[in-house]
Amino acid sequence: MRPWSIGGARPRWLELALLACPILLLAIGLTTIELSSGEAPGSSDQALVAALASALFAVHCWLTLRYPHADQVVLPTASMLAALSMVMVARLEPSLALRQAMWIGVGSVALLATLVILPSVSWLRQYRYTWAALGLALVLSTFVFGVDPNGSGARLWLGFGGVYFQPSEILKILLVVFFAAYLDDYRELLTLSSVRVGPISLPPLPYLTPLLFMLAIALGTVVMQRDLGAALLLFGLFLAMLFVATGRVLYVVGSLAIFVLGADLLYRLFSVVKIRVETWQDPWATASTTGYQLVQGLTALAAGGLIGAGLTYGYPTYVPAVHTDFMIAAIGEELGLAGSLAVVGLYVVLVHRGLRIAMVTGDSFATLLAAGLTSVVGIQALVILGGTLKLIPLTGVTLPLLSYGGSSVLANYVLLGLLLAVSAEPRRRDDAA
Amino acid sequence: MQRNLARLELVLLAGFVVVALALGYWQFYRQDELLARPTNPRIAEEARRVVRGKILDRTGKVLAENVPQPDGASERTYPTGGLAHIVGYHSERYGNSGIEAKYDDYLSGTRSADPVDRTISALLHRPTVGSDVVLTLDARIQQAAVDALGGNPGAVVVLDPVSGAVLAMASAPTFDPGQIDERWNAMVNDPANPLVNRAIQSTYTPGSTFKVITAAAALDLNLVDPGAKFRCVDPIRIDNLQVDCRNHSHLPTVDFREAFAWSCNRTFALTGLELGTERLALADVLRPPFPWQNQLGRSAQRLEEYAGRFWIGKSLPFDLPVEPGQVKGGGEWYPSLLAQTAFGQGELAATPLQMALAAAAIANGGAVPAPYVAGEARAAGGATTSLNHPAGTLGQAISAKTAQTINEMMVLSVDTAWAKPAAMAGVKVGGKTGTAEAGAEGSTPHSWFIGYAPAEQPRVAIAVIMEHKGSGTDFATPAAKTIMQRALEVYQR
Repeated sequence: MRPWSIGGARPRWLELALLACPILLLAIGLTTIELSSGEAPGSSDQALVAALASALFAVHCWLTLRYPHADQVVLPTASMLAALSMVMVARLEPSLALRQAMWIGVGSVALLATLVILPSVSWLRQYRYTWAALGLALVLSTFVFGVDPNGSGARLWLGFGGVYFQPSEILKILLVVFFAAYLDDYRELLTLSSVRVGPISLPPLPYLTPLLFMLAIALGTVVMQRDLGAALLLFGLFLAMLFVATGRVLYVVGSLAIFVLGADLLYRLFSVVKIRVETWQDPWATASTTGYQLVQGLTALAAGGLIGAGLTYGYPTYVPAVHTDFMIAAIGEELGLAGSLAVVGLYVVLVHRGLRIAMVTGDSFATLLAAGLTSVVGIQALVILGGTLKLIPLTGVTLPLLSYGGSSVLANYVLLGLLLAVSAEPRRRDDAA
Repeated sequence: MQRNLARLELVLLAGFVVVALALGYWQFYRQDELLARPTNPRIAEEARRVVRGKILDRTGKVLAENVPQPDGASERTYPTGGLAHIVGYHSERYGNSGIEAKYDDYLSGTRSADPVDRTISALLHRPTVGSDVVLTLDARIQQAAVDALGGNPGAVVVLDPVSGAVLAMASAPTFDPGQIDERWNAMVNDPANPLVNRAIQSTYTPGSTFKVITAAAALDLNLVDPGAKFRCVDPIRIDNLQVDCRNHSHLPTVDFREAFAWSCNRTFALTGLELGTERLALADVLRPPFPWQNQLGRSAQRLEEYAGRFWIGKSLPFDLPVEPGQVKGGGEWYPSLLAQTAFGQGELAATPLQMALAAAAIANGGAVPAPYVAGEARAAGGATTSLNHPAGTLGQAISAKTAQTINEMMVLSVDTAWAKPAAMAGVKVGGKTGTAEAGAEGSTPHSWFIGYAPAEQPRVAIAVIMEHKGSGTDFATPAAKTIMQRALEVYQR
């Protein structure tokens, strides 16, 4: 044991140094907004910067004490996105700036709580069916208690005491845990054995049944509620985890075939799906109605050009939902291609670190868990970015860690907590041994 | 599972690469095209934030400026009346007109008289401040012109015959450019066409004022001795057209100068018909064979050429578009048409600006000055860019000697004949009246006057038309006198 270590603690210099970046970003961003309005930076800005700094420092200290071997890049990268989120919400919807800061604070507490409460990663595995049941209960409860606080036409929220949250945000984490545990149990069976029908070898379908059942209920529910973005995300997540567990391309091909059939069915059944596809094909044909959001989003991006109009000097508020799903349009307009590519870069770093955690953890459940958690962030970012950029039909999901919104922020911080816990796992096992 | 993870990472990375490429595609490759679409609200937003430049007259009097409103926006106001047509209007809904349209780039700041400062301002996100546009107009002369028209449909153009600077350009009826958004439909549907700038967008039969150009052709071609007397009494008949000498019934014998001053239609019908000959035969009673019979084509061609030298029927370069008018419509020349054209009727059509330029050319030694109304653009910091027409002159229409002779003839008209109401004490004035028959048979003719003062060293040239008002002598000529008097009081070159 080295002289400067306290108990099992080891300094995490890289993380500490990197954490200066989000704090600087927030300070500079808020100051820029104040100065451009012709006012001196107020004390509320300093309080926000101090609050973020202390929240990050608290998490950093807890990691240093209890998880000294946890990944040192994940927290600063996610915090960059959180700081940018606070800056952009302050710029786009000043009245919501404090609430977003509060949510990020609550999220940090949730992250800490996850690290504090979680006895070990394998503990999650023991209660796999509890998580599945909890997820189902959550989703099904929206049918009974679901409300639609902001009049979007879909009853996706659960509310109590004036606070609303979206169960699908929690559901995605619960599903990751369940999938990871289940796939870990039946991984070898699913990988090796097969049922031969003539020249084609089929997978052992019976073993997939619980998984498919769970997926079908989750998908069915969100589709019934017209939450197509969540459906796409859950499906992509299932595909990614199945592939990581088995490595069988047949699953991917088969699933994609089912996806195409399902999408075609949805296209025929729901006018909302049809409108989304038509809008995607030519948003300018309906630029003042259904295509308005997409057209204004793309126009905002174009207005930003390479270096952007500068914070507060663009007109991103013409884009509906610019502070939630369409956050990238505001970033693109005011911070330019430089800013929007930086955001993409942050997601790439996050995905890369997350999958690296999965690779080195050494425990197959932890690997699947980390891969699933990372996939959630990566796929969700791709779904909404692709929709905003007219690469795929637009479906409403939040941009992870950037969009305004309580449940989204909260869920993503819990997710980060789990990921950090997994990253610390191998050395903890070694220390315990 | 390691290999599977690596493959998953590859797929996700590929997704982000596509997203990055798409960002580049929209933010860089398709940037200009997307921003130019009508779906881009930034164009209007930016225009609303611009502090639009002022429009000033030559003395610095404000003709148009933006006045801040309580709600933070600013409203375009026009504190000086009577300038709606030339200054124009500025509306987000209906666009711009007049100078507001022509120099919108300077006024709105997309172009600046100080490009360096504009670039720095854009980088520092300073609000765009448009350049002021300084016109050659003088609000005082403009007011005199508006008053002289007295609301009668018509137009007045006053210009400096040497520089071509337009000092006043009035058109009646007019409109309130500050009410464009509120009263657009009423203005557009008004049968009196208040939005039309009659000085440059309406063409009129010039009547006897065109005799200046017919006389210029005959004298410039040296076809007539202006001092030689000839008997001029009996009407002549050309085709079915009878042309008489009623304008000078008290003078049975005249020379070419007097025939001009008294506006003799018979003399000018013959002049037009005989422009193609070697010498005008203006003496009494002509019977077939007429001297013009074999020369009709050449006569017509010469008349057209001289009309063209005075920019009748041609696109006149000016800050704002000018109707070209015409010497003749689409058909062939025939004797009575040529005769009528020569004394200012027929199918002739000219704008008041073109007729004012004809007077200015006579005053300016035969050179047609290039007309302009926008002097310079002035950036907020004081830097200026000249908007002036670079040519100075649009060419020599006639020789200086011919111009001098016609100058004397126009002075004679003011001193002794029909243009007498334009005479001023102590100032020699040159002028030519016109009473143009136009519109339905029997309707009151247009009242015309073109002229300049002082005749020896002209400072102002003028054209006045009052639609369906009566004779040139009774209406346009005294109106022109009051305007020229005011102009001579206030205008120093």
